Amino acid sequence: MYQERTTTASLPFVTTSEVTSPATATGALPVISGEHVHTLPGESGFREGLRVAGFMCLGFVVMGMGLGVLVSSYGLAWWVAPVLSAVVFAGSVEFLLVGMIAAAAPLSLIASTTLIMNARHLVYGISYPLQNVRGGFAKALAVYMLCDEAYAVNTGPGSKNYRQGRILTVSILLWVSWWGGSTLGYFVGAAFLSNLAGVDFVMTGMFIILSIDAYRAVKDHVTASLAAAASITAIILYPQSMLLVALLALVCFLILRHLVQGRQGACKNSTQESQYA
Amino acid sequence: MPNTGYILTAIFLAAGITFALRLIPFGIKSALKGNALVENLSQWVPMGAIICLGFYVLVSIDYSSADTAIPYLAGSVTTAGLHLWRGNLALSLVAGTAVCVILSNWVF
Repeated sequence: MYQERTTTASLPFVTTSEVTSPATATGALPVISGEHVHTLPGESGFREGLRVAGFMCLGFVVMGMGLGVLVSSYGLAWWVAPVLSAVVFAGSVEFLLVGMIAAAAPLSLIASTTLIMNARHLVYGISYPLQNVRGGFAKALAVYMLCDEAYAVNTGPGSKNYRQGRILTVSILLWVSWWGGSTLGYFVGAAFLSNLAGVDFVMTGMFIILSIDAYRAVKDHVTASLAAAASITAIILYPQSMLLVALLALVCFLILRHLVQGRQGACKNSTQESQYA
Repeated sequence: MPNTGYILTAIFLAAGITFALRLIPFGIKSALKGNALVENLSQWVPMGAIICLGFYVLVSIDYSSADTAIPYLAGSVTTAGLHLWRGNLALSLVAGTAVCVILSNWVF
C-alpha cells in the first residue's frame, strides 16, 4: 500500500530497458528523501531500521488491534488472535481469514482466497535486497516477514546498500507491532466490547480505509474501474461467492488490459517498477 | 466456534501459501524480471484487489433489516468521510466503529 515508485523511466537519457542494475539507476538520482533515507553517519543498522520503520509500526499496532477486536467480536478463542497474526503475517487477508474461519469456510476457499490476495508477493522478491542478508535462517526470516510495508521500506533506490541490520530490524519491528497489536486488540475487545453489537464493523471500516489509501497512492482509474466492474459483475452473477469471483474477474480483466496495451504498443505504465534489484 | 484442528489447519494453510508466494520469486528471479505481464499485474492487482474488498465489505452488510443496515452504512459513511478529510487511519476506524456500535446498541 505504501509502495514508493520511482520514475527511472523518465530520467533523461536512461530508458527503462537500460536500467538493469541498481548502480545505473541510483547513480543518476539525487539524494532520496522520505521513506528511503540513506544511512546517517555512524548509525547502526538497528537504529536505521528503527528510524525508517518507527512510524509505520504505530500504524501496525492500530491495524493489529483492529484484527484482535474482530477476532473477539466473532467469538473465537483468545489464542486465535496471536497465532493468526504471528503465523500468517499478511495484513489484509487475515481480516478475511477471521470471518472465513468463524464461518468454518471450506479449506479450498481459504486457499484460493489467500492465493489471489497474496499473489502480489510474487514480484516483491525480484527487487528485495535479500542478498544483503546472510545466513539461511536470517534469509528465511526476511522472506517470511516480507509484507507490503517491509517491501516498501526496504526496497528502493539505494536498497542495494541496505545492511542486514536495517532489513531485519524493519521486518522484525513490523512483525512484533502487528502481533502485539492484535493480541492487545483481542483482550481490549473481549474486556470492553463484548456483548456489543456492531464491533465487527472494524473489518468494514478497515477495507474502506485501505481502498481509499490504495487509490490515493496510485490514482490509476483504469484499474479502479476494472475492479469496480469485476465486483459488480460478481455481485450480480455469484452473490454467494462474490469475493473470489470478483478477484478472479479482476485478474482476467487486467490480463486483457495488458494484452490491449501491448497491442497498442503503449506500455507506458509497464517496466517502471522493480528496476533496482 | 469451529474446532481447534480446523482453525490451525486454516491458519497454517494460509501461512504456507503466503510464504511460498514470497519465496518463489527469489528462485526464478531472472525469469520473472523481464516479463511485462508479471510487472504490469504487480502494479495493478494490489490496488484492484483492495477495491474489490471494499465492495465486498459493503455487500456483506446485512440489508435484510434496517436495524442492521443503517448502523453499518452510517459507520461506513463516517469512516469514508473522515478518511477522505483527515486521512488518519486510527481516527477513521475508531469513529466509524463507534457510530456503528452506538447505533446498533442504543438506537436500533
